[in-house]
Amino acid sequence: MFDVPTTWSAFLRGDIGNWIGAFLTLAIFSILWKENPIYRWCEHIFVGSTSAYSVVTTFSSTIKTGVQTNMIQNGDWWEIIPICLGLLIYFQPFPGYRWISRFPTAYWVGYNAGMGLTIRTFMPLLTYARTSMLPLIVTTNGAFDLMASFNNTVFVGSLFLTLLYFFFSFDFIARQQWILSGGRWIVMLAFGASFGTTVMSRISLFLGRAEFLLGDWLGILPK
Amino acid sequence: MDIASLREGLASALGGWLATDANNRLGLTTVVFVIYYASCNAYWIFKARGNSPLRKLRRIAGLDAIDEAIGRCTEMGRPVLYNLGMDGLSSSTFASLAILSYVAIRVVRYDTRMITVTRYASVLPVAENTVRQSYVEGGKPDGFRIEDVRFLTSDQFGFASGILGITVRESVAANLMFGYYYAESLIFAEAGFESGAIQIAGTNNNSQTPFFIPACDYCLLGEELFAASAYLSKDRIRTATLVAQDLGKLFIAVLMGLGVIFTTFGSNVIQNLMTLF
Repeated sequence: MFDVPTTWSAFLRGDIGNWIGAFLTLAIFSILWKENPIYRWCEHIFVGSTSAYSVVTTFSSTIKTGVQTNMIQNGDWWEIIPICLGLLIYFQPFPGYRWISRFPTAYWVGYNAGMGLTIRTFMPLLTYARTSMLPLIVTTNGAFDLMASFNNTVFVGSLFLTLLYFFFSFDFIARQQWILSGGRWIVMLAFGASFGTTVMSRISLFLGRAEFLLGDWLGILPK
Repeated sequence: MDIASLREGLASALGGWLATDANNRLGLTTVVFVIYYASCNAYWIFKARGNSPLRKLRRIAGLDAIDEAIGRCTEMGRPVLYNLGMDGLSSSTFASLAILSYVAIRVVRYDTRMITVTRYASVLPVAENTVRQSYVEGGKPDGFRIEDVRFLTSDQFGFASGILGITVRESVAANLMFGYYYAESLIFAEAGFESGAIQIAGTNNNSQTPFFIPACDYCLLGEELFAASAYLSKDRIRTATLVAQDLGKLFIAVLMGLGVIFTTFGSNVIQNLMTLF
């Protein structure tokens, strides 16, 4: 009935692997009917296996590289400092010593907050501002270009309405309902376009699973 | 003096201080903007420390609905699910943690259960401490249940699958999602919809907001997420930083407005000034 696999990876790639994959896929899809024990079982396998996988990949790509390559081979022994700092997080479960675990957390929070304030955060903002300075009246080869002028006017108008919508503390703007509703309309139009585009990409994800079920598993689709 | 010689002079004067490149000559403008923005922050924070009145913030419906959502959970005896988003300790997660703090205080006050979930182990201790602190401040330190602040897995869809299960099994009555979200946003929102939860979401990932809008009862748009902590807490210092943020936006808006006017009349003086160095 089945090809007999000779290795573990061949086992998972072969017919038996397809059956397991199909069962797990359908079990996860079964939530569309209702929450059920089979879904719950597969959900726990999914969460547990992905969690274990991330532990292994973190160990092999970060810890192993840090100790074996950077410290032992390259002699970067200073890396022991962040390792020790990271280990302090394991004081978390001990109520009497929990305060020690706050040091790496505080460092990490401070590091991320500081990174958010670097000049690199502001640079893209100003780049966008500069490239948004478009002329409202465009001439091409000395003649008035209606379409380009219309496009630029729509762009600049939408930009300013949206920007004004996101002012929170200016009473004048808050009182002008047309600005708020205008900004909201522009944002909603943009979101609608984005929704359509993204739904198309989500359908392609579903098609991938459908292809697996109908092709690899059931063999209905021609190869 | 023409623009080229001005640029040359600035390059020789500031070359050692400001790293910039020929394609992106925004170094000097960035410094001017950062100084202006920092000054606005400093001025308004200084003002907030005194007693002088600050500006009023405009209404944000999604944030007003948080109390209603928690009240509904209390009436129904079902838990609140608070999702901190899919990012590590980024700006959106900090904004979400500020909302979490507000929600946790309300939850303690109304004696309602709240399940908090995070995708990143690094966010877990911060979330734990935020919720624990709210229980301490609320006078119920023993009410804090560490198992209700959960890390599931860092895998995107593994996490989504876990949240889906929790939402349905725990029958949550309020699903609060604030932070950065990716493709799994609709999975969370659909699960909350199926369990009949009141849903409020906010993300600064503009490609995911369109999925929250149809599936949630209230949705924060873009930067409203970052205004939330000042809006909810009504803290004077936080409000001051929000006013400064608005002044920063005003600077950009005025700059762009001038740029558009000058460009329309055929002059690139604003762009040239912006790209001096």
